[in-house]
Amino acid sequence: MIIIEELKKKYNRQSKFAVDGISFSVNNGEILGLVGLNGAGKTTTINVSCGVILPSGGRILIDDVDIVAEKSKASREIGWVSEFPNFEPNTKAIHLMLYFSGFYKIPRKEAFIRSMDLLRTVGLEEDAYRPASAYSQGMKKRLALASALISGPRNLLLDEILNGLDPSGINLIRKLMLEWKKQGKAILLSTHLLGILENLADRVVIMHHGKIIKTLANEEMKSLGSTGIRIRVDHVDKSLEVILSKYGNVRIDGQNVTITNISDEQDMENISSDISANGYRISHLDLEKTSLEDYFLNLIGEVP
Amino acid sequence: MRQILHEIRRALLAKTTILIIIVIILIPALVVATSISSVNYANSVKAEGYAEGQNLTFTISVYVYSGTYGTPTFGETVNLSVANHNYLLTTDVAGYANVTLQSYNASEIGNSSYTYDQVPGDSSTSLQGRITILKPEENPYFLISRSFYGQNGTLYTSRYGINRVPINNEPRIYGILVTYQPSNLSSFPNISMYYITDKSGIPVVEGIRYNVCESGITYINNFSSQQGGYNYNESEMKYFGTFKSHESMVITPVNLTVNTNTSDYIFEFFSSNGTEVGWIALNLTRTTSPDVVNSLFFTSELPMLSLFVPLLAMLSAFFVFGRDRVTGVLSTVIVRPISRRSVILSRYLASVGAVFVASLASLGLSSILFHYLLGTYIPLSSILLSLWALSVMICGFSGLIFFASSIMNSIGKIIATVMLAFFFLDFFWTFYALPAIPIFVSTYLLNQSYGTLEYLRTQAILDYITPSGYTNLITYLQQHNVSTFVLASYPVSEIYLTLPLVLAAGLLWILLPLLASLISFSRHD
Repeated sequence: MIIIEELKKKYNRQSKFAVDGISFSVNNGEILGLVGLNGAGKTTTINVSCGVILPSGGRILIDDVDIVAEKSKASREIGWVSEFPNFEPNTKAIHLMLYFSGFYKIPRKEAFIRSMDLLRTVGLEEDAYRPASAYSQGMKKRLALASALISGPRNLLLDEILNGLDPSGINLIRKLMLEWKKQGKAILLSTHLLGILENLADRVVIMHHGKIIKTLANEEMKSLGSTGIRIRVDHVDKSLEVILSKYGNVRIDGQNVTITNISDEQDMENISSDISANGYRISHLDLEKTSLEDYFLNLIGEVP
Repeated sequence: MRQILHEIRRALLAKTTILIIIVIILIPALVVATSISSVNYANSVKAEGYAEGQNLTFTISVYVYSGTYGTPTFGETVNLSVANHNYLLTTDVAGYANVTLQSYNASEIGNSSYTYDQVPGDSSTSLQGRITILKPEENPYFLISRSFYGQNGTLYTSRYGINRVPINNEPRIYGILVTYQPSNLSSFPNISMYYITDKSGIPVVEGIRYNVCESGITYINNFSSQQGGYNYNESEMKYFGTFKSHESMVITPVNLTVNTNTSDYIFEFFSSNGTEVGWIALNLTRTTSPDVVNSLFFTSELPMLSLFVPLLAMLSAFFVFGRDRVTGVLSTVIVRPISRRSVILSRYLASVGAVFVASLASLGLSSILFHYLLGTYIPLSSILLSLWALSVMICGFSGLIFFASSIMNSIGKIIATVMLAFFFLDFFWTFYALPAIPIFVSTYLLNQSYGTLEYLRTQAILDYITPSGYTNLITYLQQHNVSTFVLASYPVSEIYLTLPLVLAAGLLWILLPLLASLISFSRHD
């Protein structure tokens, strides 16, 4: 379980707070998504939470152990994947795994078996004896994940782990996360791929300018916003806009018209007949639902 | 603790660390080998002059050769003075200055002399000698003894002169210089050398005696010989080699001392029919005095170490800590169950320990090289003080880079710090032996009159300021002088050069940068 209380971080005296007094927790068996624009403070939050950098204020508890006051103890139950993993140059992946195992007092023979198992799990078994510095970004991400799991930690902090991965890699990580969730691990995941969070995260914390501006439960994500309709007509004029405005918000882009915030699903059927009845010809029509991404952009004031 | 040891082991086994260790060990070894070649012994020159002939025609030869290494001279000018006439002769490649004179009688030739100035024009370096007229004779091994000729029969003296000489490029050992008087002979005979180790346990002293034989009858057989007080059986002598006689030759019995602790030998030379023609008792090992080795060490190797060790210590600190921190590699370690303080401390100990062990190995190797090449180890006190000075340098400079790495977030800035520290705290700062070059920091600071008490004090203070200065400080303490030029005539306390002060100040350089790094890295990003 990860508990973050009033966390603050600024990198130097002149700068603003990269993270400004945020609080949330990740429960055991929960996947918490951390979303936000670049510079929102996601990476800083994760790096401080796993003890890689020091907080300027607040407190982080890993399984009730303070990451600052009792760093060594708290770190035993942390697995961290950096946004841009970097490893010692010219060191083979398996040797790195064994090196990291040494911090957890894992006997060397067991460490080797465990390392090879993990490398197999993340799809790097055949590259175990290649220098990690020669890996692609996606392979580095996989290796970082394998090294994060070497001690079987109860808390995982994954910073943009899906970036740089191919579709099969994304699918693999997705499955693994669901597996870890079943095992009762607490997972803090930051990502730009908001669509994935909709079906994966139990909660999503939206950050902006170092602050939390919204926390959504999974159910809330699924019922986000309203259904809309997008049509293409032979010509667009003022009277069409007047006709459609009674059903919801109208946005016109050339011959394309989008109606959102349609409150009554029955209206979806009435719209097409109303347009035809008024002498307009519809060449294309489809339904659309507001996504988490749209919701997020609306929330921070950057309407697409 | 286990995590710290794990980290230390990892850092020590890094390729860059191993490379740095190798460089630190090898560079001084090369310096030692080079500096030993500068050990020169006074190249004394010897000469012999003789004449052969009869009636009014005499061939006069003056043989000039190196008394140090036994090699013949070439192109040297010899002034021959015969009956108030002077002849300038030049030695050929065999070391001989020859001239054939006519119209001088045997008395005038017998009273002639030669003069050779070792330093041309400097009469104080002159070698002078009389020209000896050699009698006609045919025995290739012996000359008719001039001392005993005509008294109670015929006595012979060996044509061979045998001496102990240093060996050029082999300063650890002596060789045997054999000079031969070839007068009246058109060819050179072979001689065989036999040897026996000194069994008596009495140290061999340099000594030589011409073997005087009645009709040259002394054969190798079960014959107990007594030479210079040593009793040994010639039948136990071992064969060393057979040599073609020459005017001057050096025999190097260096291989005799391999795999043995014995260095005292007795050598005997025999003609082809077994007649003994000469002998020499010889200690093959020539030790150079500890003062010479100490001086060589402090003037050649230690300055080289003080130049390279800080640079390599800083590079090691950069590779072990600075680079990893900036590139994010260190984060993969920090996230493990190890405290930030332990991370920096373990990397510091690994970096400093590697350079220190390499320096220790370098000093040890140098000492062994000194002993192997010159026969004397570097004095222990010098090694211990040098280790202290090197520790100050290693810890001081490493600590600076650890501190810089803990507050900087760019490889370029850290590299720049390494270069600035190297040039301004090591190179430009400490090489104040070159005050004429104004770029040296110390040139601006050493503005007192050269050699005064204030000058010496300032110089000592300058050395205290930078970790590199501690090799200078301990050099002053060991060599009892300050700088290359100024011999200290003041009590060491007046110029702040006491051992406790040097140790205490060095301790500050060891601890302060480390503490600053620990605090900085533990409390700040």
